[in-house]
Amino acid sequence: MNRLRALVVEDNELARDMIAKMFAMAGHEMVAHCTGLDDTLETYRKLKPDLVTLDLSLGEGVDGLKVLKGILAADPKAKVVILSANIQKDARERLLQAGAKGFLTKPFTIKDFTTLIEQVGSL
Amino acid sequence: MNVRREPPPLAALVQRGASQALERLSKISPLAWRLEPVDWDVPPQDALYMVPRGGTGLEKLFGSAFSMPGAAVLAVFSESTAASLTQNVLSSYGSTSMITETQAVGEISNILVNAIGGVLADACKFSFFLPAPDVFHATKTDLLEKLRHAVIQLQGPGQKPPNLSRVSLRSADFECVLLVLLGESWIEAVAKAKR
Repeated sequence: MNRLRALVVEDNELARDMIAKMFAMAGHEMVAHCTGLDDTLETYRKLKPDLVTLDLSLGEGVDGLKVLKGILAADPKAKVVILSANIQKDARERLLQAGAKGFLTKPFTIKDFTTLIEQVGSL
Repeated sequence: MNVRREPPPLAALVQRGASQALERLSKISPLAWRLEPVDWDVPPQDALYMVPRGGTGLEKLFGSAFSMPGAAVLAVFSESTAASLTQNVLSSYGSTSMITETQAVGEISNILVNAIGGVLADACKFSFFLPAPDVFHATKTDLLEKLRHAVIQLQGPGQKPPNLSRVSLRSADFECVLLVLLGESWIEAVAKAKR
């Protein structure tokens, strides 16, 4: 598996630290992190990462679904994986229907994380 | 004799969500956590009775406030609980980062509260994205004031006061308390879902 370059959209420092470490442990790389819609779209266009991980509980009223739709509008082939504590069935379906490539519920293990990002990364 | 009543449907759902929260907390922390029976119809002024256990009531606590349509949740952790959970999470992936308790409490309470929110939402066939919480390091008096404010905000004109359930997740030395306020729309939605 090639080394994946990932953009992490996560406003919580602990979660971001954990995700960055998990990418590194799996032999991949977090190339940037963002916390809102505008910075995510700008960074995505600039860096063209292989993968985006997106949290749904972002601060300052930013809706994860809106960020997902924004990324996909900028690049319909974007590979976005949702990493969220949200376990609602309807919410998950809405996200997958909107174009998310995968969903992992927090808390997750390094094994679950690696399996998912590599599956999506190889699509 | 102290006889515990059968919980109403709303409290039973909160209890089910609390079991999921317990499962998630046990994945985060290696300690032996247990779920106390959920208290419902708790008067807001009593919501933090005996928190922290053995404390004077003057200690500062960590609190995360979440709001969702027609509902609010306040997650409360003693300072020692917050410090322990922060270390548990950081050591689980070998991090040496300087993450504050405030950051950790925000993420951990997000995981716990979403467990309860998910059960309620699925039962009522709702769907919502919980925004990131506001995290406080404040006295019990301040947190109770925030709770009182949330009660006022959730009670619409001519509506009953929101229902307050209290969830307590305990280990030998630590405790997480989740105060779940559900307004009339949720109470009606749960009753409808049961029919």
